[in-house]
This record gives sequence, C-alpha cells and structure tokens, in this order.
Amino acid sequence: MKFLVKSSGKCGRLGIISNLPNRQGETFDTPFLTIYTRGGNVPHITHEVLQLITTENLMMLMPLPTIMTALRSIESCGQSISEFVGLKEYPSYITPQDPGIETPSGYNKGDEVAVWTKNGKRTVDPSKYMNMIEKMKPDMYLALCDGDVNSDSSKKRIVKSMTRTSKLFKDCYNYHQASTELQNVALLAPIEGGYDLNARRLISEEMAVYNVDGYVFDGFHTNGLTVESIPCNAVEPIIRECLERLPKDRLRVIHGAWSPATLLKLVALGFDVFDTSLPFVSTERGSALVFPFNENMALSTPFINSSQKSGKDTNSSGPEYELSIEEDIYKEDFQPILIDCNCLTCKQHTKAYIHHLLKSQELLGKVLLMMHNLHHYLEFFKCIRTAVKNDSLETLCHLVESHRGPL
Amino acid sequence: MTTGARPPALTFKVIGSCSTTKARVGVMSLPHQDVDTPVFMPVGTKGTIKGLLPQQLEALNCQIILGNTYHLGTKPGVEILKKAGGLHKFMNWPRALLTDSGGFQMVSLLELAEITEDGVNFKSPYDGSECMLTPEHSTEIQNAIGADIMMQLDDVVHSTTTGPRVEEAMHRTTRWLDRCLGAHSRNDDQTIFPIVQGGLDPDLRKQSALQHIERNSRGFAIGGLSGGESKDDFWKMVHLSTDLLPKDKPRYCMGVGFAEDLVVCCALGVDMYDCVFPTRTARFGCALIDEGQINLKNVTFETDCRPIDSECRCTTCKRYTRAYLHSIVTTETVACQLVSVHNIAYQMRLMQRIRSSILEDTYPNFVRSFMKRKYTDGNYPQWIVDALNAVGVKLE
Ligand SMILES: [Zn+2]
Ligand SMILES: [Zn+2]
Repeated sequence: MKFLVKSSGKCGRLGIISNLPNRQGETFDTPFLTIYTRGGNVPHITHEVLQLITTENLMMLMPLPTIMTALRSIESCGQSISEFVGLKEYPSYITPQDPGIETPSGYNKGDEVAVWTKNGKRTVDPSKYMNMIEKMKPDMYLALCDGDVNSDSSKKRIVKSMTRTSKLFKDCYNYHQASTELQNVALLAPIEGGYDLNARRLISEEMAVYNVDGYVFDGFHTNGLTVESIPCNAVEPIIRECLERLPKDRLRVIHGAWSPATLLKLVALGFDVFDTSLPFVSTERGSALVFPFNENMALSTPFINSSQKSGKDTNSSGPEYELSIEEDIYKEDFQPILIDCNCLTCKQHTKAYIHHLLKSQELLGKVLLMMHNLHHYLEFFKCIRTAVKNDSLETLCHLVESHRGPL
Repeated sequence: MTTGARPPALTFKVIGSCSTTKARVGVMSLPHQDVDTPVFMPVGTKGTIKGLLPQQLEALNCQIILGNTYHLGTKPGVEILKKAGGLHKFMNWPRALLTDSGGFQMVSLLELAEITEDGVNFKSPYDGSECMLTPEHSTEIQNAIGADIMMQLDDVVHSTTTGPRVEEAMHRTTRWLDRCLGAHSRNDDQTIFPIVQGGLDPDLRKQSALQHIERNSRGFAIGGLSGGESKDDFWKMVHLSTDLLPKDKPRYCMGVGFAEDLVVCCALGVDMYDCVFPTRTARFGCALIDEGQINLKNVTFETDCRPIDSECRCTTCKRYTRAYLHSIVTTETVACQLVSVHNIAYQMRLMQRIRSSILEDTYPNFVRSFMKRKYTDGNYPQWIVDALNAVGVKLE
C-alpha cells in the first residue's frame, strides 16, 4: 500500500491511498471512511441495496469477532474474505475487535486476546491471529492488541495493556515479515496507553521504529456506545503527544462512533481514516442522522435548541444530531427524514412509514434508516475533504456544533 | 373536456389455454398494474415484505402483493392510511395490491372471536375492549387501504368442520357478500372478490359458487381450504369450483403456495395464489429449489461454495454462496433479505415457467418433468396422481 500526504495544516490533512494489493489503479482520498460490516455485510444492507446508496469505491472494515466463526467456510472455498462475503469489488480491512459493539472487559490473559463471536468467547494469540489473516487475505489489517482500556482504567491495567500489546505486536510483525502471502498486505500498528500521557509517549516512540503502513489509535474506549460521549479535549492532548513522536507519512486511523463534532476535531488533528460505526449505532437505536453539514441544510430544516424540546423526556430523544423516528410525533409525519437529502429513503419514503415499520419490528425500517444514515455520513465526509482542502474546517465545525436538534 | 369511459377496476383476458388440462394464461388489468396470470402474490402483511425495498420487488417482477387488513387496521390504523392516501402511497408501491377481509386473521389469531349474523365479535388483544368486524366495517377499512382487489368478509369455519355449521357459514357468506357489495364505496377503483365456501361438501360448494356467480363479480376466490384438510379433499374442491366458475373471470385459490400445489392447481384452472410460506421460511434460513428446500442453517452447507440454485438468476444466487449464507443465517438480517429475494425469485420463475409452457401448449410435459425432479424416486403422492389424472395428465 502507498500513502501520500498531499497537504497538511493545522486544520487537518489531505492524502491519497493507492497500490492496495491486487487493486492497482484504485485510490482513496483521505480523510475517508471505512465501511463498518458485520459478518461481511454492511448491517441490513445487501450488495444490491448498497449499489443504491453509493457506487463509489469503498473499503470494508471487517471486525474479526463478526467473521472468525466463518473461517472453515472461507478456507474450504479458498477465497479471500472480500470474495467470500460477496463483496469482491471492495478492499477489506480486518481489526481484532468490533468498534460497533461494546467489548466485554477483563478477559485478556497472557498472550491471548478475548474475541467475542456469535458463539461466545474465543481466545486468539498472535500465531492464531496471523494464521487467520493469511487465510482471509485482507488488503489491510491491524495487528493483534489489547485495547481493553478506558478513562476509568487503573495505572496497572494500562501498563498491562501496553506490555501485552508490545509483545503481541512484535509477534505479529515478525510473522508478517516472514510471510510471503502477506508481503503486499498493509499492516497497521496499535497505539495503546489509555489516558496516561507518559504511557502514550513511550508506546509511540516504540512503534515509530517499525516499518508499518500506519497507526491505529486504540485504547480510548471499549467500543460501541462508550465512544459518543467522550469529549475531544479528553483525547486531544494525548493524541498531539503521540503524533509528534510518530512518522508523519503514515496513515493515522481511529475507530468508533464518535459524535460528529468530536470527529471533526479528530480530522483537524490530522487523522486520515475513520469508520461508519455511528451510522450503525444510530440505526440500531431507531434513529436517523440529521446534523447539517452545509449552509442549505442548516436553513432548510427548522432547528431548535434541545432545551426547548418541550414536554419530552430528553433521555428518550437521544443525541442532538439524530431523530428518534420511533417517537410518536412521527406517526403522521408524511415528510422525508430530511427534505433536501438525495438518498433513496428520503426521496421515496416518509417518516410515518419508517415509524410504522420500526414500531412493527419490520426489517425494512432499519434498512431505510441505514440507507439514509450511510448516505448522510458519506456526504458528510465529502464535505470534510472539501473543507480541509479549502481550509474551512472551522466553519464546518461551527455548523455541526450549532446544531441543537430539529423541531 | 371529454374523458372516455373508465375501464372497470378489473378486466381479465385469457390469452392462451392448455389443450389437455384446465390451465390457462391470462392478463388481469388492474388500476395499478397489468398482472400476468397464473400469478403468485407474495404476502406483505404490514405493508412490507421481509426487508425488501419496493424497487427490489419490482426488479423481481412482482406485479401484485398482499396486505392483511386486520394487521394494517391495527397498525398503522385506518386514520393514518387515509391521511397517507392509501396503502400504495404509504408504502410507496406503484403496482397492484390485494387485501384480505381481516376475518380469517381474527378467527385464527384471536381465541375469543365469536361469529354472529352481524359479524365477527372479538376482544382487542391490545386493550381488551370488545370490537365487532362487520362486512360493512371490513369493506370500509379496505376502501381506505385502497387495494386493487379486496376480499369479502366471509364466515370462516375450519376446513375439517362438518355438519350444519358448514351450511350455515356458506349461506351467511353469501348474505355477507351482499352487505360488502352494498357498503363498497369505490367500485370504480377496487374490485371485491366473493369467496366460494362450503367446506368439503361438494353440494354446498356448488350452491355457494352458483350464488356468487349470480352477483356477477369480476373475479372469484376459492376459500376455506389449505387449513389442514386432506390433500385428497383439497384438490377435489378446487376441481369442482373451477368447473363451475365462469371461464372469463380470474379465480384465486387462497393460501396456496407450495410449488407442487401451484403446479397442480394451475392444471385445475386456478389463476391466482398467495402464501406466506416462501418469505416466512426465508427467515429461518430455508431456501426453495425445484428438488424441495434446503435449510441453510444445516452444517452441511458450511463448506458448500455453490449458489443456492445454479439455474437461478436472482441477485442472491449471482453473488452469494451457500457457505456464506450459512455463516450469517442466524445472526444477520441481511441473510433473511437474501434468502427472501431468492425465494420470491423462485416463485416468480416457477410461475413464468408455468405460463410459458401453457402458451406453448406443453404444460403436461412441464408438469411431468417438474414432478419427476421433485420426486426423484417416482413415489408421487397419490393426490397429485389423482388430481392430474382428472385433467388428463398421467404421471408415469
Ligand atoms: Zn436521506
Ligand atoms: Zn436465487
């Protein structure tokens, strides 16, 4: 894999990814989104429906917990993971944990990392992990690591996570170097250390010497719904320290369902790769993302301050950047989720219909939400790239932050 | 401004017939769609089918789908459907729709349903209040839903019931038909189908059919079957009904959808079918093929790298293997959608094969080769042998 930083400033950087194994000619402009999948499919979205959302090239994020139970099938079909899951046109990227679902804490032991599959807990050590990677033949993967750390973790836990991760990474790295199959596969190194500045400095210096394609900033949260409420200022000083110690010409990756406002600050800090966990968690709780990312959107939808949402339980109404379509106020709302949205859901269906589908536990409800949420988020990233290019990221931040929930 | 006289809400034209059996091919023109018959109608109980988008159903060549009045009347409710401008607009489905009367759902879903001359009396499962579904009420709800074809409220008795109750139900069904027709407020947009009742009694069936035919409806349904009666009784009642019903009107056999039943009933001259089975079974990982069905949950598919059906051209079979479907079948909603796509494609392709062979007048050959493939050992169920024999097709 080749990564070229085209421009870099104090408000984010632009780059281009090219030369993925067996995908000559395909490029990705950064900052970009990897598409969150489960069991190899975008949640609720078949390949046929994905084509109705976007025909652009996408990189599929495949969390190991959701695909490792299929290993026997993959082996016997002799296919790469992308081929096996019916998405051969799309490059794949494997991570040891699942950013969309909270990871149970306290199960990593010795050389073994706990991976929670649909059949329960499985333990994975470096040789088992690398063996699976060789069989699944992704285009990119993150080395095995212990990211079971959050803001409440003790010093002892952080040290444990770091020493374990160093060991796991070195084993994976050596295996990778020796493997002929993995020669062209991109390898990412984990940056752990929780919220301990010193620990983060140490691991950054350690990882900086390896010949890897990029770094994944891990260990700020345990995935799933634990991410959204983390304010950027909690992670910003740590990230700055790490970035100073790492080579600037490598990919910088961060996972999880960050709030849109925090995500923009992460872009400003210079991250290149994110994922679509937010559209997923939003869909799972029956919500549609509606935060504006251009002036037109901000004008065309009537927004009010969330404190003015009268007579409503603020807990049930969810985060300010989404609409909880299951709420009764949408029962007779024959408008689309967003009037100016060009997604198929908004062009063809009303909130009242989606409300009915969600209330009736019909599968199509989440299909329609996911179609809108993915479209919204992909469009958001187009605006992010333009904003970084035009040095107007601050304006975009302001737009997103000023949003306090629609009427 | 002049406007030509509007065509009736249903016109039916037979465009080809089998010279051996009673099978025929027709075009049923409805306000929203011309429907090629014999047709299988997938069931979308609550205004949706198993996570599929309306354009996916169109791509699968579904021309008409079913909605259930009882469920839609409860959720989202008549008021919302009225405000939405009917079910077509509410679910954004441009093609034809058919709704049932709600009566069958009530009697089968609700233990406490009681049938009187007035209608079906039941306790609401939501708030326990007593409600009455009368023929007038059923018609009013179906008028609000706005389906191209609606069903009369009929007096449903279990298909194995015998004695005076069957006769009472048959006569009451005719009286209720008259009340439905009297209450029908959108005769230019919607067609009510009467339902031939009479249990398993040939005389009662005959009386019911003749009474309905007098009402000069645009189409007819054969009801009260597919409820646990023997297959031997089933085909005889269908055979008898299609002999009586007018040749120039479509005939709808309610609740039939297994492949072999479709092949036999087409030979008996039925034009329309519906069944929840193909989509309901998809949810449990069952995929339909000519040989029968395969359950993708079964561990034998873990290493099976073939598509569900190598002859199928659906979007599932073109892209996904049995092994992959096996790996997501219990955990991912996408699996349910992918198998539903295939199962609907299977039903649509079966009907297409039936229509083509009737038009080419090779239907008996199609029936024989279909049955041979399904019953490889040649052990045909006796009812199939008898039913086909009755219309001149011998299975060797
Ligand atoms: Zn939209
Ligand atoms: Zn298929």
